[in-house]
This record gives sequence, C-alpha cells and structure tokens, in this order.
Amino acid sequence: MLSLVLAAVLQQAAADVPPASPMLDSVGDPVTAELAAPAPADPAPVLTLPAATPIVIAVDAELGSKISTSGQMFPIRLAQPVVIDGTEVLPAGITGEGQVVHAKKAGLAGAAGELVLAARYLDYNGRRIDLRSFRFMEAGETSLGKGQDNTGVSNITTAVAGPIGFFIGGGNTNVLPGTLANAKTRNVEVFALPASGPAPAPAPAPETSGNPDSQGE
Amino acid sequence: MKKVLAAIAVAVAAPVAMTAAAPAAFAQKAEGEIAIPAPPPGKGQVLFYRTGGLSGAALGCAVFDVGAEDKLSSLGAGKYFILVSDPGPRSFTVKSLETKDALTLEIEEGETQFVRCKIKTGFMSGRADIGPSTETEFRTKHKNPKLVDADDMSEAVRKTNYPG
Repeated sequence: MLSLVLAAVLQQAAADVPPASPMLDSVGDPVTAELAAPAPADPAPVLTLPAATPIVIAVDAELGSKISTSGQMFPIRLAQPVVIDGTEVLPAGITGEGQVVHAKKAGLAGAAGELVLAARYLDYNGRRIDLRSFRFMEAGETSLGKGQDNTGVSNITTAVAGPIGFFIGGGNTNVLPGTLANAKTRNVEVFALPASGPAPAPAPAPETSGNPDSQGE
Repeated sequence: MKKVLAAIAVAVAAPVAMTAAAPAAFAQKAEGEIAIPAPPPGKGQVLFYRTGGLSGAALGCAVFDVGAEDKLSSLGAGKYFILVSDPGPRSFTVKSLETKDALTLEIEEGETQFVRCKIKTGFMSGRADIGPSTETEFRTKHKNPKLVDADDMSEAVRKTNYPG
C-alpha cells in the first residue's frame, strides 16, 4: 500500500516538472538558428503618395441645392489616374463616396441656392483612401457652389416698385452626373511597387482648371 | 515759417504712422488687394466678407456660431474678417430682425474658404443672408475691402485679425 502511495506521489511530481525546452537539440545545445531574428530582408520597394495630393474626381449622381439634403452621401469616381514616378497607383474609375455638407434651396428676395459638398473616400480594392478639400472647378466667377444670385435685382426692384421685389426668387444650382471637381488625399498613402507591373504610365499634366488651395466651396 | 515746417513734418510722418497702425498680418497690396495670410499649422480659416453698396448699408451682418450667444464679428458694408478654426464641419448663422440664415462649411487644414454676406429685401427690414463664395468672387466683387473694427470682434477673432 505504501509503495502504491509513493508511486502516485512520484507520478504527480513528474507531471509537475515542466517539459524539456524544445529549443534544445539532442545534445542539449541551444538551437540558435531558430531563436535568431530573421535576417532583415531588403524592404519591398514602395511608392509613397503624399497627403494633400490633388486629384480629379467626378460626381456620379445628380445633386442640387433644391434636390439634395445635408448629410446625404453620393457616389464619386476617380476621373484621372494618380501616378507616382511614372507608376500608376490609383487607376481612373475607382469609386467612392462624397457627402453633402450643406444644401439650401433658392429663396425669395433673390437668394441663391447653396450647395457645399465634401469628398470622403475612394475604395481601391477594399482599401479606403480618405479624401478632403472638395472643390468645384470654377469657370470665371461662377461656381456650382451656388445658383443665380438675384439679390441685387430684388433690392433694386423693391426700391423702384415696392414690395414686389421681395417675390423675385434666386436660382438653384444643379450638379449633373459626370461633373468634374478637385479633391485631395487626406493621408500619406504607401503602395507596394509591383514586381513586374505594367509599363510606367506617363506623368499627369499639371492641373490648371482649378485652385484647390484657397477658394470657397 | 514754423507753420510751413510743421505742415511738412505732418505730411512726412502721416503715411508712416498710418502704415504702422495697419494690422501687420493683412498688409494691403499696392493695388488695394489684401494679402490673405495662410492659416496657422493644423488650422483652417474662413474669410467672411460683405461688399459695399447702398442696400442695407445701415444694417450689420452679425455672424455667430450656430447655438452661440456671442457673435464672432459683425460685417458692415465693405468689411471683412478672418476666422481661424480647427478643421472639420462648422456651422455659422446670421441673424436679423425678421429671420436668420445658416451655412455649414467643411473647414480644411491649411486652406482658406470664403463666405459672403448680403442684405436682401425683407418685409419690414433687410435680411442678412450668408452663402459660400470663392476667392475669385471675393477679389472681383470686393475691390477695396476693409477689416472690421477691432471692437466689433470676439476676442479670438480679434487676436487673429489684429495680432500684437
């Protein structure tokens, strides 16, 4: 009986002993090859797209100061490919979303309709490319950010003909599908350089149709 | 002779004194165009302006943050001011006797946006109306802009527009 108890105690003690280290080989030497950090491989070549890189997008829905509402999301599309050092990193045609920040329809007394939009992101094979700085491309003094402003006409009419000027309305602004606009990338984006990708695309021509740095929406 | 010398001294000193009194950050260009400073790092800014003209000239266009009690500033005819802001959406409102108008902008880091205030016709008095604008419109329509007086600005706006 005593031997049975002793055998059970010894078996329990053996079970509590931690197992032999797997890092020892058959002669007890440490296996240094497995412990050593992997040799630093050459970093994969990457292309870096700086933050605030100007891009050209197209609005893919009909929007307007009268038909849109604040907060509404709308589809956008990259209209021109984004190229770094001759390599296309974002192809034209990838889609994303924008958002209506402010929409107000035209009103009495010549008040123009107003529309403020924002570019939110592009989706590139499941990767989200955040955007900022939506700007309509201006054509002279006009901008799609607001409609025809008849405030002056209304004021003059009121001065000449009385309250009838109050009933002169302003114009709404309409953005048709396919309308081009400027935007910028929000963050620094890093792209792996393809090992044997297509021939480098030509660098895009400098953007001249808008001033994305300092203008109203 | 003393009067002549005094007149010459005043004539020489006046332009220097007037230049020194102008806000350093908004030096006027030779053609009357203002030089808009870049916003501070990490910030964006909005330039509010109101063109001159007879309509509603006696009325002010007081600009508020939506929900705020204290105004940011008040635009008289032909005046402007610059508001420095954190990036992100921000809503503004203008109030008049009959109604109020609001505008929401997406303020972007490092960029200047433009907002124009107009006084439009109302039943009993003019109604202030703000809307998005562009630098092109500001430069074109606002030939001789003047900065809003310092005592007509909130403390934060004053620090931006009258540094030092």
